[in-house]
Amino acid sequence: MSTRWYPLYQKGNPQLRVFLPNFWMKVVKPQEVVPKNVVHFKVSNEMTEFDVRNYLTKIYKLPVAAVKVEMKNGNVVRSLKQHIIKEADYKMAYVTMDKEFEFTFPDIPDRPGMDLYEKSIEQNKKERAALQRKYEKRPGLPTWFAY
Amino acid sequence: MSLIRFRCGRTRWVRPLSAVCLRRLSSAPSPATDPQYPPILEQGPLAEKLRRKKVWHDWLKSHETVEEKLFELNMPKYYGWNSVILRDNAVPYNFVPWSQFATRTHLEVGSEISPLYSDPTIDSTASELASQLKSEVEDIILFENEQFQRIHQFTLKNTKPKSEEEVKEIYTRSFIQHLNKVLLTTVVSSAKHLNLTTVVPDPRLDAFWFLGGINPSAEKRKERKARTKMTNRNVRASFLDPSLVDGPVNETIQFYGKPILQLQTRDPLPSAENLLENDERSQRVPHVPYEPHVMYLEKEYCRATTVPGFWPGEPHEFGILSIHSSNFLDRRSFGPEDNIDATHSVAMLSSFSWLLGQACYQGFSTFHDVTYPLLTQTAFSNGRDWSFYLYQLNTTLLHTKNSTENPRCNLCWGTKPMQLFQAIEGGRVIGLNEDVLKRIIKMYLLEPKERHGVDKKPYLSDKPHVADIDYEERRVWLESQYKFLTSNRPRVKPKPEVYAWEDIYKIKHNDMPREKRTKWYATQQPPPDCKRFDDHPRIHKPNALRTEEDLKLPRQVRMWKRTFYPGTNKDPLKPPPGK
Repeated sequence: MSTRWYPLYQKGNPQLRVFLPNFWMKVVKPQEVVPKNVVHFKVSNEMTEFDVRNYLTKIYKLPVAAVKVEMKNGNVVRSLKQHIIKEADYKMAYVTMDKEFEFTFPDIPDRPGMDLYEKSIEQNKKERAALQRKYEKRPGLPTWFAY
Repeated sequence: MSLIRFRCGRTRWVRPLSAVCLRRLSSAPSPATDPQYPPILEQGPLAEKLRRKKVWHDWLKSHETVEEKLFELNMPKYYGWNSVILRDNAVPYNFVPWSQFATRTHLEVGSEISPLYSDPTIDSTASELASQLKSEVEDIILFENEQFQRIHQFTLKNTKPKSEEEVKEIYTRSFIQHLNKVLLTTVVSSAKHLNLTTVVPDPRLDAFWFLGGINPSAEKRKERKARTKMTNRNVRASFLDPSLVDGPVNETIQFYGKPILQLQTRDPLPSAENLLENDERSQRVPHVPYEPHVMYLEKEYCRATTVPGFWPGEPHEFGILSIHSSNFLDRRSFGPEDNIDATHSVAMLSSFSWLLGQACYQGFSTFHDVTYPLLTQTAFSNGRDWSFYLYQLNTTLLHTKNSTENPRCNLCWGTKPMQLFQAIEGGRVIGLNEDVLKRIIKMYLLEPKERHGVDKKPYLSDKPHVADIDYEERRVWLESQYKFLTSNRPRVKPKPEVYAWEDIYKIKHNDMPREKRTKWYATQQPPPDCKRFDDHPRIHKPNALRTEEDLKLPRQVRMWKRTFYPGTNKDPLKPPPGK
């Protein structure tokens, strides 16, 4: 989102120029099995059903038949400091296209970059274990004498 | 019966049944000449689960009256079923495949809807009557639309202004009821069966059924997974095999409709086709396994009500035709092509619902299939556009595997909408279509016939209604409770609410471990959805209400009011022999 507030136009002001739109839509993988002509989106909280429909038909020229938006509560989770916190609310848009339209969600990893992260964790573990092994027979020796 | 009763309160250790010898073994040798083997039952978790369900279905089948059978559908749920709500005036986009799946219907759309109507005598009589009635129908159209002033046209203080759709609905209902009156009085001379019909204006059309083969929701899967890990010895019977976790679920479907009018007679319409036990067309019925909310359908807690526009015991208990309003189409924004599909899907759903209600009054149910086909004619109209349907009910079984594997299927023949007239201009009707009028008249001319050699009520006793029960207390109790059920009012005890703070701090995160454990989720009590309809404390019977007969009974018996849930307490209490 480019701005926090939608810039209200006052008479006499310079012409409104919006360089990044406040509205965004993100295709998400549906939680359940859905028909082929149904696509699920996460959208900006400010968007209404009309906005979603116009966004898809005017910009991407998609054959939208029906739209339903729903505000979802953010998850309530325990933070690292053991506090119970609530994540931000979000809006889902369930869009039904024409009967003939077919959409399959692309085969991409659920959490991109996770394999790299896991590899680095393993590497860290190995190094730590090696260091521990080294100091096993030298209790209380400062690391200054390591080399 | 299908749900396992949970133990409330203190749990006891139960001795395993295998260690108990129930009957003393006889030392006499049994005659080995004619061994009696028990039937071989299918093994496996799914087969066992279906067998547990069948116990309930058989119990429902054993009830003697119609009302008890319909009552029994409500017995597993104190707060009602969480059902998918279908209404005849709200249809989502592209709904035909789901409606076909939900009613197991084979749909044929064409100009000629059935050979039943192509009988030459019916055809000639209809065309004769149509030309005779043409001017009269024009008069009705003008009278209802132009010459008759209605209350909403005046600006009165107490009346709310009506929306465009409401105004249209008033005109449509009034016009069709007027047309029906004129047609009945005219057509009756050539169709004697119309002398014995009941016309029901604005009937109540409810139907309830179980639909299987639907994907389980995420919550359902989570709940099932939890059930595979239960360790309590006393609820061993409700263990779930892990193979069943992702299996399809049954959804309960509740249909609410409001036709403009319906016509009923003593006998059913003749069948358009013979009932086929193995119908090829059943394999072509689409399977739409998506969860209801994916199909834009909503769920609500409600009672299982099946009311086909009349109460049990009505002598004219078979339908001939029903006319529905199609004004809801104006509200839809999916284009004219989808509006035609929407009419087809509502026609299938409402025809099925009406016939299911009639079948239930004959003793069949959503678990016990019909033994003979039932028919109805349905028309959808907004006054000007008419579409006609003929529906044959061959099966009511849609639960569990039946939704996909039932070899029988229902049949529906339908037409696209046709205009009765083009417009009204300058106080004159322009372009009255005689062919459409002929089709309307043909629906009245189709004659119901008695089914010879068919047992109409195979699953009911000689006294098929609650009104026939001799034991007065039971009769009055069942009647009042059944009417209370169908009224859909809430029970005395409201459903316990789980507040958001409880959900967050007590259920999701165990953040208040020292809090007093009183609510059902913190104790060993079952969730409210598992509460059965008869799970309530006994009701006290005041002294003033106790009769002399009651006084002969033991104190602990006469203190409480008796309940007469389906199939129980069929006989009056008798005092012990000493008194």
